[in-house]
Amino acid sequence: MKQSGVVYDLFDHQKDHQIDAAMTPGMPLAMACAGERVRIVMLAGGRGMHQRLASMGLNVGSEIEVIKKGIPGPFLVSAGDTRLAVGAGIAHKIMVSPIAQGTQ
Amino acid sequence: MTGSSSEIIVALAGQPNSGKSTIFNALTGARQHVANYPGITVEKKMGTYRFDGRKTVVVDLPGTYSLTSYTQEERVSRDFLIHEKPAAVVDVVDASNLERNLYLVFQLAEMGIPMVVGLNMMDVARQRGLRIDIEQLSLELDMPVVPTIGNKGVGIKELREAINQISKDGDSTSATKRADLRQRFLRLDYGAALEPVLGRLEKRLSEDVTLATRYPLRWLALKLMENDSEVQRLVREHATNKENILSSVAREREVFQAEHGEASEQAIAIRRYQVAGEIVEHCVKRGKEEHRTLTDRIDQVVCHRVAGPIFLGGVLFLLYYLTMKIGGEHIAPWAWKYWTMLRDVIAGILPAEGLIRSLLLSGIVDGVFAIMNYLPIFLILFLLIAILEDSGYMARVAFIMDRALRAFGLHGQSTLPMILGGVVVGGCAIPGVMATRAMKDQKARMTTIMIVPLMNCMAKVPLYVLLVSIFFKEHQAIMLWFMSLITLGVALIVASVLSRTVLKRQESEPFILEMPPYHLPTITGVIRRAVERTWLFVKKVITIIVAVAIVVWIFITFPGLSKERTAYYDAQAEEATNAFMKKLGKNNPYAKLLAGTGLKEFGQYWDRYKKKKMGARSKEEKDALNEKFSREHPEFFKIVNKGKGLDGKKDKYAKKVYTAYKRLDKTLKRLDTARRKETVHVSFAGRFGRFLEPVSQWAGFDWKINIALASSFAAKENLVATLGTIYSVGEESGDTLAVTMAKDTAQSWTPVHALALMLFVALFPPCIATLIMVRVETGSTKWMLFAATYPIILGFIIAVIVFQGGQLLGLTALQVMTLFSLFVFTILAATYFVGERAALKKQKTFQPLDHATT
Repeated sequence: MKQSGVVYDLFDHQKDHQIDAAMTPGMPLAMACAGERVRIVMLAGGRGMHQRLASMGLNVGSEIEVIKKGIPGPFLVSAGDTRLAVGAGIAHKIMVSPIAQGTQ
Repeated sequence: MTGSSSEIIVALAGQPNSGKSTIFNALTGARQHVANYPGITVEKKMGTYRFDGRKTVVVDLPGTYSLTSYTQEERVSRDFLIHEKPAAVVDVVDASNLERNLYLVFQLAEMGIPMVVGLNMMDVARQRGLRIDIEQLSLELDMPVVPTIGNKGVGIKELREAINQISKDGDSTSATKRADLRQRFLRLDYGAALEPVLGRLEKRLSEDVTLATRYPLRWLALKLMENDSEVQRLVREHATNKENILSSVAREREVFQAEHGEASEQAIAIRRYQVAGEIVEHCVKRGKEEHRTLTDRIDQVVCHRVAGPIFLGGVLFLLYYLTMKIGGEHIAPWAWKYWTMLRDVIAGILPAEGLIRSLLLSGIVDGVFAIMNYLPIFLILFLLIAILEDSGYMARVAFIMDRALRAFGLHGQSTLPMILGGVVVGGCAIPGVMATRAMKDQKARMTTIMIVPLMNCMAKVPLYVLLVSIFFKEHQAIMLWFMSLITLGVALIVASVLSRTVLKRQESEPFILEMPPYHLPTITGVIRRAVERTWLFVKKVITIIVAVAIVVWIFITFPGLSKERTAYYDAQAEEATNAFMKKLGKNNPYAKLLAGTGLKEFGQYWDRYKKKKMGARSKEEKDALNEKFSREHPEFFKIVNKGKGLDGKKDKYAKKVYTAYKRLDKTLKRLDTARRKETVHVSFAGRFGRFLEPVSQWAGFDWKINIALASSFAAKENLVATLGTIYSVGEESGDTLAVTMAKDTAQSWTPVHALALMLFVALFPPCIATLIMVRVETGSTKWMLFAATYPIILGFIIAVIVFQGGQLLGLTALQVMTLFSLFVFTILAATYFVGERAALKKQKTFQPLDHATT
């Protein structure tokens, strides 16, 4: 098996929201709605892309909010205090699961 | 203090948008200089300051999000830290964005260099209601943390002090002490899964003496577990038992993957974020529930589907209005006065005649000054662009434009290079090509570099204006708009074709761009950046032009006239001179004065006087001028003043000389022009032009146009100037080039000729300076040659279609223009939809196992 594109477990001390990644297949970020808060459950793509996404604050477990939906342009998301424009291409490679509103 | 500690080197690192450059400027003030890292295009900025009697050299590393070896910038930063071993490294951290910034802090700390965190943009953090416990942060990171506000200079003194302190600790030269020191800094705990592996690897690596003395072992171990190819290379180069080490690393990675179900590099990355999250949780208190920040509210409008592009259009219009209207129409002509004064001074210093003067003056000096004319325009353009960049709007421009440009194989970040290149009339391809540096996506970057020269640079404009004013008097504005729209349309089609054919295999990167919060740019920051860029541009242009001008000058000067022709012109000149002497008469007392070298001396005096007199406006000025020239040479003065001395006495002999010399002067100047014209005609350029005439006539170009086009290869400014030489705008006739050309072309030229020529020039190959820039930025001679040849073929085909089509169908230029635009925009629309559909298709095929290829 190739090492890229594996489904990654979340770590235990992600204490607030325990999500079992295996149970939540997630959807591509591209399908999230504007204003929706989601958590990244999996990253597809090669190692280079993972490291790049990680260094910009998009990692498995990160919580992001979709500010503006692209299609076919880039998405505008916020990860923590960072605003990122994410191309529609990668938006299909970031798998997310919605966070129920009001849990925070 | 020991001698070695009298000067220290400090590296300045930080993620993009952390305000690193403001800290750099605040630390070093004006004592900076910019160089390139050897062999690559990444800029190396250095500056110095003194603190506590020590000279500190600050090296500004490129802004990077992490320290992997994927991008050139990251490799450069890493190599600098490993090999140059600075006394300390300062990481500038965006306080309002701590979590993500800590990612780089950890990676830097692992390199084992004494470290200080500059916690920057404290004001922004405070505005967002973040309260940061700096003591706690410093404790958890195990390194000094200094709060700063770079653009206001807050905390700079404290930062210098911290640097001084920590680098003093690092002064100790003994290896054990240094190793000791390393242990003192943050040692990130990678958890139960990774730590044992790292420990085993470290031990293994420590057995290798070369590696152990050269590199921090934990860093090596981590990087090897991250599967970093550069570090593998280091091991292969320096380790004595490299096979052993690398194979055990591979084994450890496999075992880890099997046991934990994830690759070790992923586990490392995730762990770093966890620790960052924990630290932020301990040290940062958020104020009230976060409201929509001002930035978000601005983005609601500025990035809006409809309002966004409209706002962008307004910004671009303002950009052009300010640069072209204020810079181009007011400041540039004002500055030109001083440039010409400087040119005259230089002309005065140079030897009076001969090849050297011709080379230096018409080759180099005029070439450089032609570009200098645009300097004020560039300064204003760079100022405005620095404002757009520092305010954070530039990232939004990329965001808005990405959608449209992506369909053509370009990138949101292609917008700035295209603006600089001159989307609407008036830019320059050189800064345009240079600006592609910021682009990470190699494929889009190459495509952008290839099409930027198709934009309408400022040097193409004079030819448009010249031809439009002759052939399209009633439709001047429409024609200029037409030219910029057509070139943009053609450029987008070309981009789309290139990215799908010759550039297909270039590496493409996913589009991710940080949208920094909006800032109010500081005046000093903007000015500094604009001046820096302008200066870089000037330096580039001057070095390139000096090299190129020599070649071109040879091209249009040699092989020169044949002996017979030279003899012919010399004989003609002598004959005229003899006739002049005869006319003076035997008794003329001035004849003796003008014999031999006297005549030449008088010629110079005459020219000088005429030139000065033209410039003199008021009567006082004229009187002063007369007095000055009379004092210099009373006899000569009588002649040039039509026989009248300063005292008003008339001298009929002098008057006679005046009349005769006036005729001689005219003859000599005419001969000189004819000689120059013939020199061009027989020069390599001339031969080339005539050689091409059978082909170029398909597009309606005769040999004169061919020569002008060939010479414009050096610099587009030459185009109108060479046409000037060929059509020999007589200095004495006073006609402008437009009038002379109109006369000359009245019978043979139609507006369709002019249209074909304009379109060809629009697409014509970039000037040599741009080509050299393309060579530098692509790092490939092959691509430079490609950039030089494809526009000739494309431009020629279009010129032939327009010219032949127009002639065959007997259409007017306006009709041809309309038809042609329809044609271009139909193709453009088709390309757009094809590109968009391809992009959508790609997105829909979601394949988790596929390698990063968007």
